[in-house]
Amino acid sequence: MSRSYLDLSKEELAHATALHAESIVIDASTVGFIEHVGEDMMLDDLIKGGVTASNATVCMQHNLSEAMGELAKYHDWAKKKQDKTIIVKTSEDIVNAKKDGKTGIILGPQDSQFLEGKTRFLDIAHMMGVRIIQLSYSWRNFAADGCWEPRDGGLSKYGFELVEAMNKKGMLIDLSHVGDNSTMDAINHSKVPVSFTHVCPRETTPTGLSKYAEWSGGERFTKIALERGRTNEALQACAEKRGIVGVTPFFAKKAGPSTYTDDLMDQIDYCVDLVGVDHVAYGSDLDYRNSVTRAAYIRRYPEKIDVSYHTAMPKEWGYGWLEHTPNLTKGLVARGYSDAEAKKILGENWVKLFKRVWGE
Amino acid sequence: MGRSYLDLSKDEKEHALALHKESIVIDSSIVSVIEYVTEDMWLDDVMKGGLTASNITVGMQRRFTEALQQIIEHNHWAKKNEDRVIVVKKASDIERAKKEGKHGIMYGPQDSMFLERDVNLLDVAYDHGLRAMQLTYNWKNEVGDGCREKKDSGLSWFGEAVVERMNKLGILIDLSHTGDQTCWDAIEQSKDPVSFTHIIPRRSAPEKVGGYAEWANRATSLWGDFVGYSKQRGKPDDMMQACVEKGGVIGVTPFFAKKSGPSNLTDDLMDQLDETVDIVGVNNTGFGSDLEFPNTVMRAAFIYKNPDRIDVDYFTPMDKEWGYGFMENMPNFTMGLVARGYSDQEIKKILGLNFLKLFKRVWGA
Repeated sequence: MSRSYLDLSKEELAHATALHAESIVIDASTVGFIEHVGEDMMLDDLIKGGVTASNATVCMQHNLSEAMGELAKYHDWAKKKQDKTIIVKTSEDIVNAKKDGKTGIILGPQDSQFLEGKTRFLDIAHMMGVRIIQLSYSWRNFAADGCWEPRDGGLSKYGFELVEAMNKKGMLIDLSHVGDNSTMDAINHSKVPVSFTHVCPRETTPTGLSKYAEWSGGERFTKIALERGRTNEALQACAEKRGIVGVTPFFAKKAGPSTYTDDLMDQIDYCVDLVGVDHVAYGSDLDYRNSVTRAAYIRRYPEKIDVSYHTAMPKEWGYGWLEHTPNLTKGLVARGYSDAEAKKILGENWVKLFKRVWGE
Repeated sequence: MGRSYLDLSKDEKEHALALHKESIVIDSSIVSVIEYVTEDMWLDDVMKGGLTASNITVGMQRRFTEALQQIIEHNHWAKKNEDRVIVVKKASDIERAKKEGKHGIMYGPQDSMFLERDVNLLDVAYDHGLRAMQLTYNWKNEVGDGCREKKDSGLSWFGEAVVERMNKLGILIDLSHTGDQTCWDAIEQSKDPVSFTHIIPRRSAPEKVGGYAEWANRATSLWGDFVGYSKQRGKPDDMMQACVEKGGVIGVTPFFAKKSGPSNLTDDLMDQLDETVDIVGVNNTGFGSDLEFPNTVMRAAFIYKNPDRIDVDYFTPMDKEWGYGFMENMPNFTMGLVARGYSDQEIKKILGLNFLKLFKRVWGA
C-alpha cells in the first residue's frame, strides 16, 4: 500500500502547505457559475484553495449566439470582480494571477456544438476568450463521436477541419469525453500537442461502487466510468506528442473506506509511471452547481449528510469545494514526489503546454 | 396598526392551521427547481407548506424550442412523480389535487418572447399544458412594453393577435410585470378576465428599503433602485379596479412588502393585502409568492458555507420567518389572515377559491 496523505509528519504537512501556497496550481476542468445571487462563493473558494487558474466549462449550448452571450456575461462579471479574478487569454495571465493573488478563469467549452458546424466561428470564439475546446462531449456531434456512443466512426470531415482550424488559431484541443477512435484521429491529425483535461486511465478505473457511484446510478456509473477512462494507447500517444493528461478524482474513488485523495493519488502514480511526470497534471471536474445544491441539501436535511451525494467529492473535500485542493499537494508529498515534480503536476506542465499551443 | 400574526391566541392559531389544511391554497407565481441533484427539495417544500397548486414560471427562453423543452421536461417529471404531482389543465384538476393530497403545477411563462412572433406557436404550447402567460416581463418585447421601460407604447399588432389567441385557446393573461399602457390595452381588449398574479398596490410600496432591498440594490443591477422598482411593479388603484370589473383576480406578493426596521414580513404583507382588499374587494384578491426557488437553494448553500452571514446576505426577499424562502412557512399567511379578522369563507377565497373561480372561467371547468 502506498503512503496516505493523512500520514504526513508535522514537518511534511507544513512543507506541503507551503509548497502549495507558492506553486502555480491549475485545475484544468471545473464547471463555474457566476450568478449574482451566489455572490463570490466560487471565487472565494478557488482563492482559498490556492487555485491559480481553472478551466471553466462554458458554451454548452447548441447555438453560437447564446454561447457568446454567456461569454459576454463572464467578461462583465470578471471586470466587476477584477480584484479577485481575470479571464485568462495567455499563459502570462496565469503567472500574473499568481503574482497578484487572483484566480484566473480559462474559458473552455466541453463541446464544439456551439460552433454550429462552422470552423469560421472559431474566430469569434477566440476573440471572446475561448482557449480550450473539447471536440465532443460524451455524445456524437458534427465533429466526433463521444465516449458514451455505442459506435465510434472517428472524426468526421468537419472534425478534421476543426482540428486544423484550432491548430491554426492556437486553441488547445481537449479529448476528455471523446470516443476512442475519434480521440486517436485527433491526436494523429493535430500538428500541436493535445490534452485530456480530466480523465482516469481505463486500466485503473475502479469498478467497485463507491457511495457516490451507488447514488449516481450504481452499475451504470461503473460502465460510464470505464467509457470515460482512456486507453493506455491514447494516453501514451497524447504524451508522445508532448500533450498533457489531467487526472480527475471524479472516477477515482474505490469502494469501501479508502480516502478520496489517496485513491486519486493511485491514479496519478499510474499515469506518471505510464507517461512520465512531465505529462501529468490535474483537473477536478467539479461542477459548482452541484456543490451549491449539495450544500443547500445538507442544510435542509442535515440527517442525510452522508446518505445523499450530488457531487463526487466527499466530506474530505467539503462535499465539493476546491478550498480542499491542498489535499492534492499533501498527497503528492506523501507519494514522494520532489518539489519540482509536484510543481509540474500542480500547474507548470499546463502553463508550458498553454504557452506552446496558444502561440505566444 | 393591524394585528400581528404573532399575537394569535392558542385557539386562534390552531384554528388558522386547521383552516389552512382544509383549504385549497394556490400560489399564483413561483419558480420551481426540478433538477435531479436537488432530489425532491422543491416538491417536498411546497407540499409541506400546504400548497394545492402553483403557477410555475417556465418558458423564459427566447427560443420556442427551448421553452417547449422545459415544459416537456416538467411533464415527464410530473409523470415520474404522479403519486404526488398533477399537471393542471383545467380547474377541476386543482380540486382533484386537493382531494388526492397531491400538488398541481400549471405552466405560466412570465414573458411571451418564446413565441418568436408566431401566434400559432401558442397552440403548440397549449397542447403541452401552457395555461397562463405574462404578456411581457420587465422589458419591451414584440407584444408590448414592460414596467421598467422608459416609454410604453401599448400593445403591438402582434400583441393584439396574442391576446385574441389566448382568449380563444383559454390561456390566462397575466400582467404582473407589464407596463401601464400595455396593461390598459390588454384589459380593454381581452374578452376574458385577466390577472395580476403577483403585484402590490402602487400606493403601498414602502418608501424606505428593508434588508433584502438593500442587498438587492448593492448586489445587482437587475432591478435598478429597489424602491423605484417596487413602484413600477405596483399597479394603480384604477387599473386594479378595471381588472376586477372584468372578473380578474389580483395576487398579492410579499416580494415588496417588507418595511424597513423591525417589522416582520408576514404582517407587512398583510398590510398590503388589507389595502388590496380595500381597493378591489375580498372576492378578487389572491396570493402569489414570487418565490424563486433557485435563489432559495443558493441562499441555503450560502448559509451553509458562511453561517456567520446568515442575516446579512439575502438573495430572497423572504426572510428568516419564512425560512429564507421556503414555502413550508406558508401557514404564516393564513395566520395573518386570521389575525386581520377575515372570516373563514373570506380566507378560503383569498387562499385559493378566487383564483380557482377565475381559472374555471378562463380555462373551462
